[in-house]
Amino acid sequence: MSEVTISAQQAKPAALIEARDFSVILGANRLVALKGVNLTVEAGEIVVLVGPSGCGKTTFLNSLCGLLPPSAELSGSLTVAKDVRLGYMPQKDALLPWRTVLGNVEVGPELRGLSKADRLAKAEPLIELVGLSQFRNHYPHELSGGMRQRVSLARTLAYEPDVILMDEPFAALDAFNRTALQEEILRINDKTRLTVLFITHDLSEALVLGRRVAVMSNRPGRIVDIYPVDLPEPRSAAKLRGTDAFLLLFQKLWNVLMEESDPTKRGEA
Amino acid sequence: MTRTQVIVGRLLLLCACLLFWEFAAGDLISGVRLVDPFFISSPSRIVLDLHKGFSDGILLKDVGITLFEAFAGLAIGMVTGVAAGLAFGMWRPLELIAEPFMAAFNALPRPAIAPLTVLWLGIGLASKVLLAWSLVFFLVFYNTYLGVKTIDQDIVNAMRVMRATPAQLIRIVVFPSVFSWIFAALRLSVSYALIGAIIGEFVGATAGIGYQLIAAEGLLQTDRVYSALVLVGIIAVLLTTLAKMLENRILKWRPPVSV
Repeated sequence: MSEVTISAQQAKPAALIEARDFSVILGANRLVALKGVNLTVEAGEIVVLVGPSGCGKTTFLNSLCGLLPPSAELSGSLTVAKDVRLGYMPQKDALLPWRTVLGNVEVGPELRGLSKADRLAKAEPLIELVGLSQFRNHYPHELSGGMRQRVSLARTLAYEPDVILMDEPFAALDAFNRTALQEEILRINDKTRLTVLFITHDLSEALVLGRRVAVMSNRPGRIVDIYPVDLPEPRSAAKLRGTDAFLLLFQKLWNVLMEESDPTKRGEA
Repeated sequence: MTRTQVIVGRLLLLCACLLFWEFAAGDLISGVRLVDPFFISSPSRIVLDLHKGFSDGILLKDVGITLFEAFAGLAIGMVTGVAAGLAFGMWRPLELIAEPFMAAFNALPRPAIAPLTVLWLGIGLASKVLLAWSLVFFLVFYNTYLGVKTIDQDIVNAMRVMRATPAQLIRIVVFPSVFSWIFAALRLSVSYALIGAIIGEFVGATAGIGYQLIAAEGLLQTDRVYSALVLVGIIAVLLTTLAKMLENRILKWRPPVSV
């Protein structure tokens, strides 16, 4: 369960999120959802948490967001650095159906108490950034799934979070839109360094986006290992997938994942 | 089918029915009739009676009174229904304790309470407003209540993560969400208010369409009975169309539903 350290030449940046031996037990039948999770997210990095469905990835994010049911029992420590604003992008877009694209993107600044003019000043460039300027006055039901997730991304960014938590945000999209949105994240990240904790069960998505990929075991979820992803930058979601370096890493992590999700080998920890 | 085809089809069906009615009552071909118009009146007799009723000013006054009763009941019913619905939806103890009583009151047949309302409030307008209210209130109450209960939890969670205060949550999520349910019930509320007012007038009144209807029945003025019914029908269609237009305008963010 050792954490593979990345290049330690520069001064170690402050961890924005830090889990130490963090465990969660859920519900009346005391389901162990997470067991001894160790993970840090530092400023300016994209960390991907990858693992089989139902392994507790979402439980980890919900712990960070304070969305666990009151009955959940926590142990160990999970700290979010002081004054860190968390953004949250769920798989279902969770847009306000009665608000236009602009109105939805403005929600974040609105919640922070900004004036109407400031909200607009924050929202407009982000709608532009995700390529939806022509649709700023459309309602969510008039948009495709891919466009709605773009709005959701713009809304999350408009809140100006220090860390963005993404819970399989592209899982419900078709292959084309998924790649396009991954490309979008990479492009935005090249412009303004984002700090992201990204959750997915799609290994190739994990490698395309992540600077570090944490592999999670089957339930009860724990971090098997954390792998640095040293792939050529700037990345391209479409091109990267064909390169040898990518395929090698994919193969290696795939084997780890298979091993961990094999029910016959799963020992009760 | 195109919109025009549908409208033409409807008009043709209406004309066919009216013509058959006119024929059956013996007013289309003199000497040939299926039923005595004493029982079924006829379209031409109804038009004549409506003309007579409106030119001596009686019917117009009655329409005004019934509409006033219905709208007063509607307005009070909406306000109180929303307030009660919000309270039930957001305060769990109230919901747990009082919900069965709400269901019981709602199940009371209104014609059975109508005489009581007259007993309490007299034969004036107030008893009809109360009866209209008693129908609208529960409809709006249950819709508001459901609206609060069915708020998309994913949206609430997303707002919570963005540190929305309870007040912000209510303003940005709860009200708009509930609002859509209330407006979805508006069309039905309007018809219910009208029904309530008319039932009230049946039991004891000195004016109103319902009163005209009952009075004409008592005097065996079949033509007047039918013209009052036609009038109620026309008013109901006009009001619900208006409510539907308002609903579509206000809820324009919803995917269009074709009904």
